[in-house]
Amino acid sequence: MKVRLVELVAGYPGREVLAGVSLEFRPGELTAVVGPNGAGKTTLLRAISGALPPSAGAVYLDGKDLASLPPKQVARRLAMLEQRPQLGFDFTVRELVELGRLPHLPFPERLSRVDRQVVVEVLAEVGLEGLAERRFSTLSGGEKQRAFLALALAQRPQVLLLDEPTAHLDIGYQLELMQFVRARAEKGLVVVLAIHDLNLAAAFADRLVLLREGRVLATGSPAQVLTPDLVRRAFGVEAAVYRCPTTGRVYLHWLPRRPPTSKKEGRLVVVGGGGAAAEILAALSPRFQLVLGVVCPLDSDYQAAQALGVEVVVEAPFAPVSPRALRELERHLKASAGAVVAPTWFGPGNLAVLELVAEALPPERIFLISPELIRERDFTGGTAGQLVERLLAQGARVLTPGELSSSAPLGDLSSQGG
Amino acid sequence: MKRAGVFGLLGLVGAGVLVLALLLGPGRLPAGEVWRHLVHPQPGASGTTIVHGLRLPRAVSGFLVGAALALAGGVMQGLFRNPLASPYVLGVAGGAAAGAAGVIALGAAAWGIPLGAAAGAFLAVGLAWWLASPTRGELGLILVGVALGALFSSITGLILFFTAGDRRFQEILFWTMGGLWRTSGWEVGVLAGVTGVGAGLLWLWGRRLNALALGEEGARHLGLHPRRLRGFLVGVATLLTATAVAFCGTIGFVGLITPHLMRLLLGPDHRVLLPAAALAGGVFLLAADTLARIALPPLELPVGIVTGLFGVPFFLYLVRRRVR
Amino acid sequence: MRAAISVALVLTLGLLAVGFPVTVVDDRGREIVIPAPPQRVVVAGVALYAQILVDLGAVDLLVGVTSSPDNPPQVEGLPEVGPAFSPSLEAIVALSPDLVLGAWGEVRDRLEELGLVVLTVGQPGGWLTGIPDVLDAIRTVGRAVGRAREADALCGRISEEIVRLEAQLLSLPPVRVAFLYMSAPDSPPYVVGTGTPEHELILRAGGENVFADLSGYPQVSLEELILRDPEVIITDPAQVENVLGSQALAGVAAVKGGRVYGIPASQVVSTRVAEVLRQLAELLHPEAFAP
Repeated sequence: MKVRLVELVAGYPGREVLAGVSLEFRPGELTAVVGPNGAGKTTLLRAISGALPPSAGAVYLDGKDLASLPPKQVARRLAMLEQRPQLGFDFTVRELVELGRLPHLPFPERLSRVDRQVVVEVLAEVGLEGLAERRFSTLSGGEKQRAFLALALAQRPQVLLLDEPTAHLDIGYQLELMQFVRARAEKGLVVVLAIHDLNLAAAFADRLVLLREGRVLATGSPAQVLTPDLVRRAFGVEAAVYRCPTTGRVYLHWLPRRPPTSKKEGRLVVVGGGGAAAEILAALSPRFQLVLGVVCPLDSDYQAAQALGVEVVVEAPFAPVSPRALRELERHLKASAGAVVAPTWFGPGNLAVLELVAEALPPERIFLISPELIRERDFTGGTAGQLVERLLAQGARVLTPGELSSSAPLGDLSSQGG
Repeated sequence: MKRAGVFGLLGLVGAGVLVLALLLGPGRLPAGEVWRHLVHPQPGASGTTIVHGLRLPRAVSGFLVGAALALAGGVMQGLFRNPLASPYVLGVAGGAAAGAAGVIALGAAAWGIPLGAAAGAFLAVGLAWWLASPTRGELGLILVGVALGALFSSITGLILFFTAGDRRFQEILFWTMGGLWRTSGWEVGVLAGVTGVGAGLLWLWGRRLNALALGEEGARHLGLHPRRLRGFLVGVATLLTATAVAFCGTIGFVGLITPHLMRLLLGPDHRVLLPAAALAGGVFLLAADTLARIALPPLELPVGIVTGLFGVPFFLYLVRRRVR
Repeated sequence: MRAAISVALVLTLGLLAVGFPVTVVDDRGREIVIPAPPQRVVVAGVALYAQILVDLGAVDLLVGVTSSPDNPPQVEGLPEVGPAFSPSLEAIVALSPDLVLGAWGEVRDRLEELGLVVLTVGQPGGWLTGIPDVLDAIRTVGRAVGRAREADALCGRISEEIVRLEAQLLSLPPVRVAFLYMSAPDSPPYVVGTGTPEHELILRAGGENVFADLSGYPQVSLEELILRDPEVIITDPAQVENVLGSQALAGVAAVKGGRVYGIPASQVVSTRVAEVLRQLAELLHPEAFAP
């Protein structure tokens, strides 16, 4: 069972929401549709379910045009869990779930033993077997959600659509639900879910579809779709993308908003390592083109730089900084307006970096962040500390971490270099 | 099983009320005589005329009209997902009254009045359906129905104004008060047929009506055509209501209270709710009518007054419970 | 001797039965056949029928009446079958009547369905619009209950009275009259137009109906009444105060002259119509009747 959308245009009277979408959904895959409000997530799901006829283009279920199939037939293969399902009367859970068998029953829709068995099974699958005779209004929010899920599952669909199913649930239920639908996808269903929570989507989905203004901005694996650039383009927010070491899945972390001008004010080299530069990178990367050096890939500052899309001068792990790396760093220094030295740990392996900076740039273009910490973190027997003192005496400036965010101190650099 | 209990109780009470309806009346027949006339009718004897010609058809009509109104009310409540809807919510009562008033004002024959009432009822609902069709969902339909009901009431008022001081005025008012004594013979047959067919159809459509509780989209996702379904159900409910009203005038509260009450007792599953409502509605109206007959002899109170007298306080009680 | 009595008895009964079965025409123009002299009559309509039976000396035939305030005192104590506009079918049937008078509409239909003989007179629907209808009612009902002679006599008396009265009034100029019903002071009244019994009374009593251009019982505005300025206003006795107490009508001739009188509507269509007519004539033309 494949679901294919071809050049789908759909919307409401006076308002086209989807402006030409072509997608394919395969069995065994959990696809998450993400995007800002108004992008068309719900509209997309409704078009796939048949509730919203397309203005142009078509939806194909297993090669057959959805518009040509009678609703009952569609309902046998496809089930949808709406964002806010309503129930006008206080049915029992069993009565509600029994409705899911309607598409499979010929008029006058009497339930056979098989149907009743399906209902029992489905209730067990969602964990509501003890609550079958309870009235709907007596259920908790999560239980209500599960009841509607059971209703959808009772249709024994091959395609399962869910519209923001986690929106009103607490984190426990959210995870439960995502695990559940993931398991369903693994069993061979086509599962498509619209969701706001990008991290939840990234954690569980095989594929992401990023929608913006009725068009597909990107599709692919979570790592492919959730890049800082795409996130900025779709949502207008700044994000850092990390990879969780234990699951291998990416996740986002939000950064403060950039100021309106996105033109960089200049290039800066940031000297860091060991985590001392992460905050500095985050504060400066909106305004300046940064280069971090010199760190190894195990360094957390390296990961922060990756997260922010900042260039890095890399050295092999556990090795002292090589001449090659120094030469690369020198090139960057010559092309920069200045350097910012983070309160990092200096040892014999990376002392050369500090020496290079002092040599390559005039002192007034060197900024030291919390230099007292550099003295504390000196593993070079005092050489680094002395170098810092010398730079300060020659006119290098000191910035507190707080001052990094305001524009004034570095303002005079923007006209130089780069 | 609670359901068996409720049905059993209704059956028992119903049988009791039926017995009372046959025994009691201004004619003052002793029980033995009633029984005698019932099983050995003697044409020409006043006792036989009373039992077979008056009390029996009236009791049967009362039960059938109560059942029909309760069924129609139950359907309306299910369709509009509102337990406070009544069979008259789409302007049926207004249309029927205007139709009957029109026929009376034009001086047509007595058999024309039920036809006029039925025509008015269907016209009102048809208009409401047509006017509301550009809107999606049921809210538009209710609003248009309410507006049309008011319009038809004004028309009836206008007719009353122009026939004031005339026997027709009395006749029209009289008709609107309602009465179960008007039906006999073929009229009871028509009532029975319509109510029976209506009840059967609605029972078969029970699960689909349940599905409408999921809303327009929810129902569509289960493979139903919500609009077509609504149209069909409105048609059946209107047929039931129009027939009842055409023969017996507008009797209020039966169609509102009995389905609501049965839903509270037995739950909203229409395959159980509607038969129970029909039974309860029939028994309720029969009891109300019997009371109307014997309360102030030889005066026969209009049955709508009795249903209102019992209906209103009960209704208010239900509303207060809900609002809490 | 015994034989003579028997013969006399048979002859009397025969005389009584003479003329039966009787066929009369009802308000619908239909022929109603009354097979034998009725012994158990129920009035299921307006009080006029009870009045007629009393005046024809046939009150002992009555076994049931509607509960109307206009019933003659002689029927007090008889079983009641409900109000005239909505009598109880069962109560009527329970009295085993062989003739039912005055039923109309669906009540009549049902009674006929149940096999009873129903007689209603007047305009179609049972409405009585004037003196000719009353006389016709007396005659028809009289024939139906086997009192044709008495009925003719009564009609003759009434007609004579009326003719005598009209002769007295012949040369007198008509007085401008408005006959109306006003439920509260200053509320728009329902006035009497043509085609009504009240209108006929006015004409025969030597009056002129200021609303003769209207028909039936239309509701008019107070201004209209003021405009037409009647010399005499007739209304229901209970409503005389409403007219006198109306601020708006203070300037009307009838009110200024204190000539606002009450005549019960029930007497307008009754066997007492000749007396009512005289009463009205005396009010309109006091000078013609001064001793």
